[in-house]
Amino acid sequence: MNFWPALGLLVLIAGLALRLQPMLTVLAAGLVSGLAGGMSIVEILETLGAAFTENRFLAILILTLPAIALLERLGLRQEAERLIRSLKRPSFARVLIPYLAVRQIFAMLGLTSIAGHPQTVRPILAPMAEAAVAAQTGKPLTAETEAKVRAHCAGTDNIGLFFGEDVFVAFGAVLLIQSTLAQQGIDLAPFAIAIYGLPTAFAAFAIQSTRLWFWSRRFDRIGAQP
Amino acid sequence: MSLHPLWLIYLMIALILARLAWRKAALKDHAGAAFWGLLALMFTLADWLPPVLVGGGLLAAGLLSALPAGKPLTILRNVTLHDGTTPPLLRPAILIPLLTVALMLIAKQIEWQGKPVLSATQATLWGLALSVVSVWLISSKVYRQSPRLGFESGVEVLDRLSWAVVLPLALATLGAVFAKAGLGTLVSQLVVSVVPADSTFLLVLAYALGMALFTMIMGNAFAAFPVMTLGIAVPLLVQAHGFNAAPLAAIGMLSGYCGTLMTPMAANFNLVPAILLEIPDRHAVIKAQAPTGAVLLIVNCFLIYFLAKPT
Repeated sequence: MNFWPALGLLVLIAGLALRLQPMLTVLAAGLVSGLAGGMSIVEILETLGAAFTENRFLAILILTLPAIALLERLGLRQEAERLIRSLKRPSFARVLIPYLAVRQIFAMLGLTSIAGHPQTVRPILAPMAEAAVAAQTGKPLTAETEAKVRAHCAGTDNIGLFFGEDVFVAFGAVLLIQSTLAQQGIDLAPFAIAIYGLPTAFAAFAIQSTRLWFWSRRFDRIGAQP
Repeated sequence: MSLHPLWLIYLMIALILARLAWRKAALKDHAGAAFWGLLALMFTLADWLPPVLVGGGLLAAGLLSALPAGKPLTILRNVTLHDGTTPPLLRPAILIPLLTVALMLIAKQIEWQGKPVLSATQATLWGLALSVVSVWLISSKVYRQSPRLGFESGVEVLDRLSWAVVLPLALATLGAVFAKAGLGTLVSQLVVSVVPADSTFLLVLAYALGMALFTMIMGNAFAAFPVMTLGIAVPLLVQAHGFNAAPLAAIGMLSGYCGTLMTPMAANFNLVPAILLEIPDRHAVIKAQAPTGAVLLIVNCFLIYFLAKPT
């Protein structure tokens, strides 16, 4: 067994832990791992280049910026805050838990692109969650709390997506499971696989909403302090 | 070579990149201008260039990104609406996801000689791309702003996000090198070599934790699934101990997803949002998700054991 390619992994972990420039860390890890795995420099560059070409779609975020920046320039955040303030008792949990539920249900129906970090989290969810927390604590958010609230918005979106989509029969993961098992002579209908995504989906909802509820309580307590 | 189905999207992205390069050059930030200009070229031409050159370009971009950053762009204009009122902006904001889904469903239906032109992922990307471009143009029209306001504001946000927007792309290329260098099989061999084959619970644990670990390294549960399932789950649990393959494999895949929540290698889920939401700590999203991922992983081990175990 050739253990040397794992050196690249060490470079990556060390670079990220030491907070070196991440782009360089990543490329250095690739070079080390490739060379240790017996690839030539040309081969490594070719692999990097082919992967870049294939994965350019990851930068689709850039194309969403004009629309989002325009709406924000015109006052979208203030609009979301006003909406939250018009609720009777806004709270962090009351914004995020329903979002989690809706995100999971839509993902189960195959409608994964109806939400996402550029589509809903930055323009709608994060401003609402921030406004709700400000209403709970009775004061503007500190930079630290703001970062925490935003991170939980992004994480909640991920969790809703991941543990909803696997229940949808036409989703890639279900089809990959089906075809992998079929290679081994185990023939299963996609539905028989997807149904077993449900227990984990419920568990994910229970765990994440409990955590969100505890965070929300913490914000309430800050607001109750004299 | 035929045109890539997403090429027009890449061209639009390149226009934004090129505009940022232009504005950087105007500020005499030559490293910044070179970085964004190089990326604009690579986005447009990658399909026609030899891969080794694209890889070299990526390396050059990495070096440029490590040079000290120049001055940030000054924001061009501030907006005050003609009559001083705030427009009902939630409507266009909600239009983005709705339009994305509608356009995605239409894009999926497009066929050429009986075959769909776009894969599911490509249809989604086209849906999102057309949706955000329409919302940008429609909102500009409705709120009587020049379309340039959105474009330049977008360029300014891109400047704030900086090289971090291409980090996910760099990590994806790293995943490809890891796979080619044989890092994946290394993990599965290690797992198999440490687990006793007669304890079914330890085997379940090895499979679920192995899926999570492998996914954390490769950033993708799909890469981990065939290796771990064909290496551990099918021979050692299904064939040797009569475990039920459907819950085993389905929850095994979801154990990989728990790993996805805990790794910077899954950059588009974990690092991009931190950048997009302008959170100073790049790993903040991972830290927020990791407790859920870890607890769920343990729950998954028990779910597999009790749902897949032969009665």
